[in-house]
Formats: sequence, structure tokens, C-alpha cells
Amino acid sequence: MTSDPTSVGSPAPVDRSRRLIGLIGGIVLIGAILGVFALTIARGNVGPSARIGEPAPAFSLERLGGGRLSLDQLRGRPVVLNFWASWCVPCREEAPLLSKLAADYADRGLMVVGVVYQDSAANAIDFMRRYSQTYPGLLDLTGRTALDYGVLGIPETYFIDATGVIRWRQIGQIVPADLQSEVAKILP
Amino acid sequence: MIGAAGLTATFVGVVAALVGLAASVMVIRGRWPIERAVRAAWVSAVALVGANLLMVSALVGRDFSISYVTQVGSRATPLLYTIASLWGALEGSILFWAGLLSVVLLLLAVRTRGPDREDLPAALTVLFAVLAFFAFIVLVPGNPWSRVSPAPTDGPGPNPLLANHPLMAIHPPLLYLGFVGLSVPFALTVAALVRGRLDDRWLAVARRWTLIPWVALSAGLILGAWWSYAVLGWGGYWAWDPVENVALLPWLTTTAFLHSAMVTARRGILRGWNVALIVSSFVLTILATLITRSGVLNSVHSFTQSVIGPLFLILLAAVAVGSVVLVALRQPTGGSSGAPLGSRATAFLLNNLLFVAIAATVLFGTLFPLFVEAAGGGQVSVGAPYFERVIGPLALGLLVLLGIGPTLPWGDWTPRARRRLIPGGVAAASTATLLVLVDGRPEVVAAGAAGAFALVETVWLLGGRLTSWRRPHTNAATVRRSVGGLTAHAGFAVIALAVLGSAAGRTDVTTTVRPGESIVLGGDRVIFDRIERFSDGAGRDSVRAQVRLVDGSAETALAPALTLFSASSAAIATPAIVPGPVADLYITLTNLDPATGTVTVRLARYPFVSWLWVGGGIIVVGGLLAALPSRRRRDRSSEESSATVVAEPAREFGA
Repeated sequence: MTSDPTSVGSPAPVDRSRRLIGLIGGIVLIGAILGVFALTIARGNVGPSARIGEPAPAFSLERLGGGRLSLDQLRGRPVVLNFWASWCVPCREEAPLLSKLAADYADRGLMVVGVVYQDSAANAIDFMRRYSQTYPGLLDLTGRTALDYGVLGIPETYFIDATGVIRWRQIGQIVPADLQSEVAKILP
Repeated sequence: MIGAAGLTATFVGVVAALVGLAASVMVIRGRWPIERAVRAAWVSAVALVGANLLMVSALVGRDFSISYVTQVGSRATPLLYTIASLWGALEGSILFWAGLLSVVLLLLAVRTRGPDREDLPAALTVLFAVLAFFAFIVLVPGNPWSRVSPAPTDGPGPNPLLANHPLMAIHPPLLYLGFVGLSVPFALTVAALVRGRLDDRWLAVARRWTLIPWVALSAGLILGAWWSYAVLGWGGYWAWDPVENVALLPWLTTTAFLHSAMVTARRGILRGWNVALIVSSFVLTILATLITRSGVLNSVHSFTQSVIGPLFLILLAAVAVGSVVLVALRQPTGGSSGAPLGSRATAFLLNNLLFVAIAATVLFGTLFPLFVEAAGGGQVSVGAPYFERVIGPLALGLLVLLGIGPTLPWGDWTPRARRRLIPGGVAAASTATLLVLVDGRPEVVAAGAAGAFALVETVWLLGGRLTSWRRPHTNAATVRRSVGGLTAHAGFAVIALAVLGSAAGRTDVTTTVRPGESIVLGGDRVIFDRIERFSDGAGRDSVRAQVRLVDGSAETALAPALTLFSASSAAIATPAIVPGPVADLYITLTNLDPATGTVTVRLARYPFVSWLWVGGGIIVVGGLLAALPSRRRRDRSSEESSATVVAEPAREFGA
């Protein structure tokens, strides 16, 4: 036990003060990161408002079951664009809700469109059948469309008006109680 | 009556924990002998184990005057699940946790002998504080004993999904044992930090107390996967569900520690890193409790409905901040001797990097939805694609390292070490060739080659080690630990190959059929006969499809079912599984139409799934081999032999 390199019983004073500086520096750094995070959220740079009022990015995607569908084809109609996947648990509850929405507002021209996010066509078709999803599903195999829209995490839903402007963005699962007022923002 | 006794026992447990806490502090200050703290450990263990037994007797005796029994008990529940409902809901699980912790604390107090006892008072201080915290939760905010009057005649019973399979009776206690057990290495590490001596004895003792919790965690995780596969009927065994993820996290950091500890024992480096891994593992066990037990998963906003969630958050913050401050002030400096590139230490460093990267990936993916929801979004899903894409390549790297690492010497890379890679290399090349011809997907070829390499290399080394067991001049305990480690490696390689096979080779077909019609998948044919309705009277109604699996002239009757639990609205597909060494046949009833008498049946073949459970068993055997105390250690007069251990720390870790 003459020279045990692991012993820190009595570190030199200089060593200890250097450690304290390091510790305080670390705490300040973590505090700063959390502060920036909190400020970003408080100012609304993350969250629903980020895309609202901007034109919806264009897309042209392969449709499950054949054919293609682009946003241009839907110009003149209000669109509810829902990003989903078969592995997404909240999406299971959204599917019947959105199917009903599509049926309820069909006479007012509303179009509900699903975009399959990070999933295979086979899984998506299986999901559509199992959860009785009736509206068209588009395959975003490269993830390009999700990137263009800035999808944060699915489910995520964009409410696009007839002129192609995003009027509302729902990050995460749709709240059934709020759905009416959100749709009202894009109906003509 | 039982309620009053249980509450009293819990109260005694809390008081004993607080007395033990005070006694441990007095021992540290040199005022009291250690025996007083040990006595408090005995009292708290007897009181809290007694409280658990009282709750079991209340559950078995269906004493519906006790609030917890009215919550999870029912007269129709079979005995096994009645006992298992002790840990089936929040209050009971914390009572169980406190009981386990009191036993583990007592074990540490009475099993620590000789010079190891130097760190005991400080370690007991930490454990008594944690025990007091848990026992206090049982006593006040999570009190399961409160009196219900008038007592109902029956209760709803435990969550039916959990009372559906015997695996559910052993899977949670194993996980709890792992979580609770990891508080011991944490306490020992805090003690060593406070004393300012992160020496080889600390490392050896911490490792010894980590192995059993690690085995329990491994077994608990595998059994959880098995339950998911056999009960939930979705055909998979791991869904990257938050509850699964938070149990995996401490396993990842603990596994990393078991490896980094070997590097430290050999080369003296990474002492502070070991501390970080042990502390993280403990913090992650508290995170797991917080996430699974606070309701935060249903919604971030339900978090504050009970005081228990915020209390755990405070514990988490206190442990995390306290540990960081302690490490910053007390971590050792210097003492690193480095290691040659191409030595086993390098492989272990990479291994640690990968384990920590995987843990960070899992942690981020698990917490991200909570942050989004807390920041005002709705519930988002971070699903399997994220985890598989990020973790897949990292796990592949681990698999290769698993094969290479044990072949490498601790010193410079030698031609002899290089020759040891030949069998694995041959296996990898032939597997890759085969898979290119059969499958062709690059990720399948790479994973198959890595798995074959790891398995053959491990078995090759294992063979060599086993033949050296009886040779003279070899330390039997060292060889046993080394064999244990390699056995666990073999189990891991088997699991990796099984995961690959079941993911890459699965085939399935979904067909809607009338009675008498059959479903065909490859060479398998299933004939649908009729529908049967079944009710067990315990709130579980099921519709069973009677089918026959036709294999040549032999027929097997099977009954996949849709089960409706009165407690929940969704029907659960209870699968019929025909396990096999090459592939499992997995039959689920996905839908039925009473109007037409047709059923929709999914018939799937999952290759190699059975080998997951075999691999898990191999890991447990290997872990136990490494964890068993050596004969020398069982010897009561261990003063002298402990000194030997200090002189030769590497022995503790296998070769």
C-alpha cells in the first residue's frame, strides 16, 4: 500500500478546485441546454405553429392498391393529411376516427389522405384491412414527403385548405373533441 | 385483522430502516459497532418479508376488507395468479420491492466478511436510505392495507392479460430481483467513492454482487419476450414497447460493466467509467420503476394524479445529481496504464462503446414521446423502424466483437491469436455464401455471417477451455468463470441467430374460410372445423376455432381463440403454437363472422423462435456459472484467502 494510484483520499488542493470548476461548468452547460429547450418550446418554434400558414409541400406518391396521387390533384379541396404506420399504436385509434371524418364531410369536398411512414406496403395493407381504414393510403418509401412536412413523430396530421395552405398541424394523436374545430379551419 | 397486522409490520419496517440508517452513520463515525446496523437489517427484513406474506395470505384468503385485495383479488382467480397478483398492481409491487430490498440488504450485511467489511457501513447507509424511501411509500401514499367497509363479497381480479400464462408468475419477480439487486453494487460504489478508494477489492465485490441481478434481468427479459409471443398473439416477441425498453436499459449498462470491470482488473484503467456504469444502471432501474409505475405512459398528464410518480422523480433526481457530484469530487485520477491496440482491452472498449450507444438510442426513443407530449403535442409513436435501423448495425458490431474479443490476448496481438480466428472465419464465409444463394439481402447475409462467426468461435474456445479444466496448475474457479462467460456468449449468439431467422425467414398467409375448408402455407395444412364459445366465469369469454393441423396421416387438434376480457374492450388473439426446432407454426384467429359462419385465420411460420428461449437458458446457465461463489469463499476462515484475491484480482474475473 505504498503508492496506490487509485487512492483519492487526499487529493491536492489544485486538483480539487479544478474538479469543482469542471463540475460547475458541466451543471451550467446542462442548465443552458435545458433553458434553450424550454425557450424554444415557449416561443412555439417546436409544436403545432411551426408550419401553420405556409403552403403545403407538394408530393406525388404511389397509392396502395395502385395508381398515384399528388397534392396538385387535390387543389380546390380541403385535405386532412395524416402520417401513420402499422407499428404506430395511437394510429390504431385514429384510423376509424379519420374514416368517419372522411364519410361525414365527403359532401363538402373534404379529402382524408394517409401517408404511410417508415413501413412496408404489406404491413400497411394489413393494417388498413384490420382497422377498417377507408381513405386512400400513399406510400412514402423514401421518407421524402415526411421530411418536407417536417414530421416530428407519428401520428401527425396536417389540415390543408382548398388553396393548399396548412391551417393546422396536430403533432401526435388527434384529440377527438378538437377535431370539429380543426376541420372547420379548412372547410370552404 | 390482517390489515392491521400488515400495516404494523410495514411501520416496523420503516422504523427499522430509519434506525438502520442512523446506526450505519454512527458506525461510520466510529461510535457504534457494526452489529447494531446488522440487527436493524434483520428487523427490517423480518418485518417487510412478514408484510409481504401477510398480503399473500390476505389475497389467498380473499380478505376483501383490505383495499389492495378488493383491487386485484377475485374468488374465481386460481391460486397461482392470486399469489402473483401481489406484484400485479402499483401498491403491491412497491410492497414486494421493499420486501426484496430488505432481503438483499440483509444478505449484504451478513455475507460481507473480512476486509470487505470496511465499506459495509457506508453501503448500508445508502441501502437503508433507499429502503426507508420504498417502505415509506408503502406506509403512506401507496398504502395497500387501508380498510374497506363494508367489505365487498368479490373483486375484479388481476389484469386478465397477466393471469393468462404461468410465465407471468415468474417474469416480474425476476425483473424486480434484477432491479433491486443492482442497488447493492451502487451502494458499494458510493461507499468506495466516499472512502476515496476505488481499488481492486471494490471492483471484485461490486462485480460479484452484479452478476446475480444480471442473470435475473436476463432471465426476466427473455421470459417477458416469451410471454409476449405466447399470449399477445401478434406474432412477435419484442415490440420496442416503453415497458420493455426501460427493463432492457439497466441490462445494457450492467452488461457493459461486467466487461469493463475485466479491463480494469487486468490493466487498471477505466475505474471512473465503471463507476459511471454502475451508477447509471441503478438510476435506470429507478427510471424503469418511474415509467412503468407512475402512469406516465398512459399520458404525461396523469403523472401528477398520484403522489408516487413525483416521489420517484425526486428520488431519481436526488440519486442522479448526488452521484454526479460525488463522482466529480471523488473520482480517481491517474493510474491508467493503457493497453496495446489489438489486445483484448481494445475489443472490450469497443464493446462498451456499442452497449452505451445502444442504451442511449433506446433511452432517447423511449423518452422522446414523453417530451413531445409534455411540450404540448399529442401522443406520438417511436416505433420499431427507428430502433431496428439504429440498433441493428450496432448489435451486428457487438456480435462480431463477441466472437473476436475472447480470442485476443491481453498483451500484443500474436500469430497464435490470429490463428484462433480461423474456425469462425470459415463458418462466417460458408454461412455468407449459403445466405447469398438462399436470400441475397445484404443485411441478412451480414447478420448471418456475424452470428455464425460468433457462435463457432465461442464454441471453439469453450471446447478448449473445458479440456483445460482438469489440467493441473489451473485455478478451477478462474476456469469456471471463464467457461461461464463463454457460455453466456454462446447463448447470446444463439439468440442473435434466432432473431435473424425469425425476422428474415418468416412466412404467413391470412385466409377467410368456412367449416371444412383448409388454409395452406408451404407444406402445412390446417383444416377449420367449427367455432366454439367458451366462458371461464372469471370475466374471460373466448371464441375458439377448432382446427386440425394435418401432417401426413397424423392430425393435431388446435384451438386458436379470440379472447374478450370483461375488463378491457379489445379482443386478444390467443395463438395456437406448434413449436419446433426448425420453425414454429403460429396460428391466430383474427376475425369471425357469425352471419356467414366464416373465420379469418392467420397461419405463420417463424423459423428458429424456439432457439430464443434455448439461448436465454444458456445465458442463465453461463451467468450462474460465473456468479457462483468459489469454494474458497465459502470457507469461514477467509481472511487469508481474501488477501489472495486482492493480490490477484484478475482471478475473480476469469482468464
